[in-house]
Amino acid sequence: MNKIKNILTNFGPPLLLLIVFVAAWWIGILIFDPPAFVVPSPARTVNAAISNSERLQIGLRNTFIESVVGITAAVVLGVLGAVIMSSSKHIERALFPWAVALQTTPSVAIAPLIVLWVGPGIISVMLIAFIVAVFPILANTLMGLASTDRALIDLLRMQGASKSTIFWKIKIPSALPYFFTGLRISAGLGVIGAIVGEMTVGRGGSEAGLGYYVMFSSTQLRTDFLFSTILLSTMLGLSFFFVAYLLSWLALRKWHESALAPAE
Amino acid sequence: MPELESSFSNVVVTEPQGVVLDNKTPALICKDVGKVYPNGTKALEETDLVLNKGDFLTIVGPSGCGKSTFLRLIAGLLTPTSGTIETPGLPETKGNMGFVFQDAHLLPWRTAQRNVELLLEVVGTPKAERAQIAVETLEKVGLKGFEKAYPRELSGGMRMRVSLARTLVLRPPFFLMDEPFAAVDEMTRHTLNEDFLRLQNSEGFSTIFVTHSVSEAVFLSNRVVVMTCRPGRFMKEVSIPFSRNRSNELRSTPEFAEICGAVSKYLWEGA
Repeated sequence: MNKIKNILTNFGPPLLLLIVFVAAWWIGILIFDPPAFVVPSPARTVNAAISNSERLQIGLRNTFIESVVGITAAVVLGVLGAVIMSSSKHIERALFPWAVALQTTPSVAIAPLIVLWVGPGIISVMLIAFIVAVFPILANTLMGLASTDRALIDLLRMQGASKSTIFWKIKIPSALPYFFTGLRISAGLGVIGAIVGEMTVGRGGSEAGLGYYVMFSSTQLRTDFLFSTILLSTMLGLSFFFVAYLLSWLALRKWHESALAPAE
Repeated sequence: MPELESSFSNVVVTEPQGVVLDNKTPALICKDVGKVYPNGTKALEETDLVLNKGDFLTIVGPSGCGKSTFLRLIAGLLTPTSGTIETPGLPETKGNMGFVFQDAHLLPWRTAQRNVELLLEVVGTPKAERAQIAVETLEKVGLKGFEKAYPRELSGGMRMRVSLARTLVLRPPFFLMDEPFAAVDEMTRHTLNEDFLRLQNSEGFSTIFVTHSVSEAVFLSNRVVVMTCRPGRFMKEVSIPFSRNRSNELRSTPEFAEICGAVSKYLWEGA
């Protein structure tokens, strides 16, 4: 009983909102009756998804692989970068502004450059996903490593602890909640990065990702297909976020406020 | 020679004696220890102190007078700009100092027992031994049955006990305590005071304790040192004549009140 109640309190409200949204969409179509290439009805959108299911499957698979590789690279290099920067204030001062610059440069603008340099293929897409996803992980992990309790470091130093002991026993666990905050943001961003990359690369066929079909369907004014592609992209991003959230919960559930059940 | 103050008949007050080695066993000798911070602030004037084995010495003084600086110098967390700190009979000062902070500073991702094991891991105690020592020490500080509890599940006083146990496992000859019971309520503080006193009597370590509370200082110590400000220096030392086996009833005796009054007076003079 309790479990059902739990599921209802967690998933009930957003699910209800979804139903309201779809209903409003449908009613809007019935009242205003717009041309299908401007706003297709929910039924048309679902039909477009079914009739293009083979393409969408390929797109979903490619976007999924590119996002996973991009985000994984962002995790590895973002954490590594944060560890290097936290080891010395000089290195941090030298590198961090460039990381910020990389983040603030619009990815849509640098994507064509990357395609030009790396070539119009899957590697470019992964690289763009990586560039978009790396900053939140880097910045948050760096913040976590820097906000370790000084007293604890002193306590270990007094007993002659080495830098690596302090790093593994104190700094890494302290930074975990911050890292996961970054990962949750990056998980969604990585998918967006991959889709932007696919739109720029513009490769169809077996290499086509969801981004390619977004472009393809919009230039052909097949708005129902565009709608279904966008919805699928959203669902992919959501599932990535959900996986990151789950990982965070698994790692922190025993001790961190964010993962504990709220007090009754 | 002790200089007797006429207004406080029971209170023995002396000027700081400098490094005078009497017939007791010195455990810690600080000679001309001073600290000037890189920005030029003189935190501590050249200070002498001899701590005998088993001493419970408390430093009271106005905020920012260099009490914590002195403690951190002894702990080796700061390097003195002048003077020497020696621990006769021990190879070096490192590892002999158990430091307890104002807050518990536990690792929230570790249970009470694993928190107590932390420093044993640092010094390389084998795993099986670590667990046994941790369980025994938690019992010593009155936390039997809370081994598996996480810090967030414990009260402020209990967290402080875990923090004490974490340092106690190393059996350090010295406890350096920087206002350790300042963050708990009055009743909890009294209980912690009594328990810590008992712990010191049974374990036999020496303590240097810093507090803002005059009654806590008088209750715990056999020596109370009053510091003055800017730059920090030792102004007066008050000897506390009570036996080392004290209980909370002591707090309501006239002698206790008289000594507290004397310490307070010097504290205000120095402020």
